[in-house]
Amino acid sequence: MGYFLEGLKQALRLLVPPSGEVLEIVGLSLLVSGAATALAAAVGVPFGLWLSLAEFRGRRVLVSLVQTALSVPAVLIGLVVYILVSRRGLFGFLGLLFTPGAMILAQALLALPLVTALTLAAFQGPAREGRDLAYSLGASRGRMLGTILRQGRFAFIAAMITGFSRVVGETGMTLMVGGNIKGATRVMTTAISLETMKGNFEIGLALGIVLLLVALVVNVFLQMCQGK
Amino acid sequence: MSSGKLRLAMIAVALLLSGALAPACAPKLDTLTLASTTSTFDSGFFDVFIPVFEKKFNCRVKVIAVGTGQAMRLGRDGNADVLLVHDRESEDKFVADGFGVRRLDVMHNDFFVVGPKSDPAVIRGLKAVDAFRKIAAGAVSFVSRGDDSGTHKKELRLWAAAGTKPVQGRYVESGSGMEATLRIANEKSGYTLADRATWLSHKKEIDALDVLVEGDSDLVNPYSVIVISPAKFPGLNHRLATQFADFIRSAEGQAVIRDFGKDRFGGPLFFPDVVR
Amino acid sequence: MRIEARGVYRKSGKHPILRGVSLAVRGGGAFVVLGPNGAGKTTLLRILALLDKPNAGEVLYDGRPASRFSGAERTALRRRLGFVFQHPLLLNGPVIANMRYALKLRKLPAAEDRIDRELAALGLASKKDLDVRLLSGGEKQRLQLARAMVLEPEVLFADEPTSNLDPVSARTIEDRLRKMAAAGKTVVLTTHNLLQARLFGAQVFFLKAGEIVQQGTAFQVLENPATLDVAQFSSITNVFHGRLVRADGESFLEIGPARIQVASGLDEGPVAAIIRPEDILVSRDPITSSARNHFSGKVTFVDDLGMVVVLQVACGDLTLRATITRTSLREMGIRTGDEIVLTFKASAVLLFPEE
Repeated sequence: MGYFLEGLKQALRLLVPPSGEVLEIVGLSLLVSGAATALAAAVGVPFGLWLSLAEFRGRRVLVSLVQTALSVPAVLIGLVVYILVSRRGLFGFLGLLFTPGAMILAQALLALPLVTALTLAAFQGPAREGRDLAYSLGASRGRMLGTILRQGRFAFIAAMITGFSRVVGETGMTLMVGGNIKGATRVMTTAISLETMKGNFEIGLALGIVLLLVALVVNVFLQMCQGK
Repeated sequence: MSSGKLRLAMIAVALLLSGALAPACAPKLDTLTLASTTSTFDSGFFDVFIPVFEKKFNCRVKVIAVGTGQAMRLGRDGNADVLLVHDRESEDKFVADGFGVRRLDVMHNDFFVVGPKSDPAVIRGLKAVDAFRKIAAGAVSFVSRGDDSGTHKKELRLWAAAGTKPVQGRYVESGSGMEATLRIANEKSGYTLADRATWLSHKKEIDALDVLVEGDSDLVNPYSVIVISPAKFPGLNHRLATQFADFIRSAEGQAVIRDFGKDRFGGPLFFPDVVR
Repeated sequence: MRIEARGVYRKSGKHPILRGVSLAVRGGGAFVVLGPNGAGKTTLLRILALLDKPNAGEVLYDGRPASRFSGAERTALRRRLGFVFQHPLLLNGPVIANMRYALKLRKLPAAEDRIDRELAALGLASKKDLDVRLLSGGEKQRLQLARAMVLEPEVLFADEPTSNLDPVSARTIEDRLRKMAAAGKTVVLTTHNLLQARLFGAQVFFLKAGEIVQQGTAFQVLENPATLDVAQFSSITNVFHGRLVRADGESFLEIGPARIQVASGLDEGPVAAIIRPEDILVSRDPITSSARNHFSGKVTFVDDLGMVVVLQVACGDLTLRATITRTSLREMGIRTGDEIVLTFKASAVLLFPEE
């Protein structure tokens, strides 16, 4: 119990006033996870939407693949990204390893199946109905898609919230491809991991509390965007 | 679900649960909780030493390998019976604070200063402190563990002795373990301080770096064993912990240390400290 | 506009829904696709309206196969069509917003007077600003129709537009559709109620298990049903299963101990029989006429359907239903429990062979 109270105290000390280092870490967490979610959504939402509308032979197989991809462990993604972007790897020339770029890439890959599967699930029914409605009123294809997206915006913003939550709390993979370098690739989760390694449990807890607060703020913001 | 299938499912769940609980119900072997560091663990030393100890004393040893700081913390919280660590300053404080019975020498290995094969800072063959001075002055980067580990503390002592440190942009704090730190140095063509065991284990992978400074007395890395104080934590396995400390310092234990690594690395990784 | 289906085949997974349907719709007026639930009416309508594609076969518009249309041509064509779904597809928000949305989607200028006109025609003028969630089922369906009509379609497809609706809504919708058909536009609707088809004076396509079993005017389908299924579609009827036998050059239908004289060229054997309730005369006393079949029985039930009344009469082992006008009911003073006489001709019995 003493840990938690001490952790709470430390959290306050870290936040009021916010130390430069904490701001840096929080800022980078938001940047990396935000960019990763945006990237995953940019690919996943249209793909999920298309999948919910399309009718073709292998559709069910493709849907199964997407759902299987949900089970890919983060560490595996981390390993694959590591291999690809390390100097000897296929994309080594980009020099992405141990930079935020690699972290964004890995987190985007982690969030992608999630965002796709959730969009697919959300749009299954509404997409067909939206399409019927729009086509029956003589809408062009573009307007039809716009109608569906507008009808389902609640659902796909929820998909993005879930994607963001998943990646902002991820540690192992982010550590592996980012390197937890102070001032460059240290985010909240890897910082917690470091403090734990050092035996500074209270600071670790404090950072954890900060992480939760940040996640809460982001969620509230996104919920406002959903507009009820 | 039909009732037949439901029954089948419940049987399956019951079997799974009993399988999971079985180990907890099995007759308990005498267990020792040893807290040590990741670099020691990664060297593979425990894979060889622990079975020998377990067999001789008919017990089970749980090795918790974490960062030095966390290992000491485990000791302070009474979550381990015995420690095997390599951070003299913290160890002395630990015993002084009454958490450990006594600090005893076990073995030592050493650190290397490694860097890019081309050695732009030109430190090859120098003494450690001089090398560090040149690194700080040169247009090169240094990757630090940045995690309060034994290696990190040694590194900081070297900077203190050199009276300097690299400028901010050139000093990279990885906040990670030795392996990860080596990889970062490898990727960014930087210099770093690495322990012999980790270096030898990962030499092949770290293809852009070479050992540039070694053998300096400043680079020695001594390991100690500390039995946690039964006065502070009466519930620990004090008896077995003491047996462990005695064994690792006995002729037999020291022989294991001396022979470890010869077949894999061509030479020993650790050097026994108990002179007889 | 002429819309044709040629050999349209459509399946869902492995299960065939439409098995080679061919029909043509043109020249304005009302067309009804009639059939029991599961016949494939909705599927057929959606394919005709270019909402779905057939797995095989073609839909032709003015002779051109729809599969050869470009995306833009298809969109242009859809703009001349309207579709009313069985379950109203509406957007959340007020009624007026749904109406305006339709125009906005088509990039048509706002036409408030036309909106008001359509809403008034469907009795929704007073609900203009109400949120759709507060409308009744019937009102929602009326809104769907109003929204389709405000876009002035040449052809309107309506999928069971009045099933499960309150009588007022059903009546309002039927009137609106009839007016459209009468004005020379084309209305294609599906229903499982033949009387509704009759009301429209429509051309009927009877669809059963994915095939068109009969087509013609409602009157033709009603008078000369091609199969038992078609015959059972005028909602109230008498259906019996028995044996056709010949004796002394006459044909008789034996249903248990009862014997009905029929006029049929069928071979002896098991048959299904239909006697239309409106073909049965009701009287207090037996009448002398050319009609061969007389049954006395007790009135067990009087069902007032508005214009007509259906009497359910127990005649020994047989239960017969006969329809008379309300006026006749009143004049004859018939009540439940009364003994009456039912009379009908041999030719009034429609027979269908059974296996």
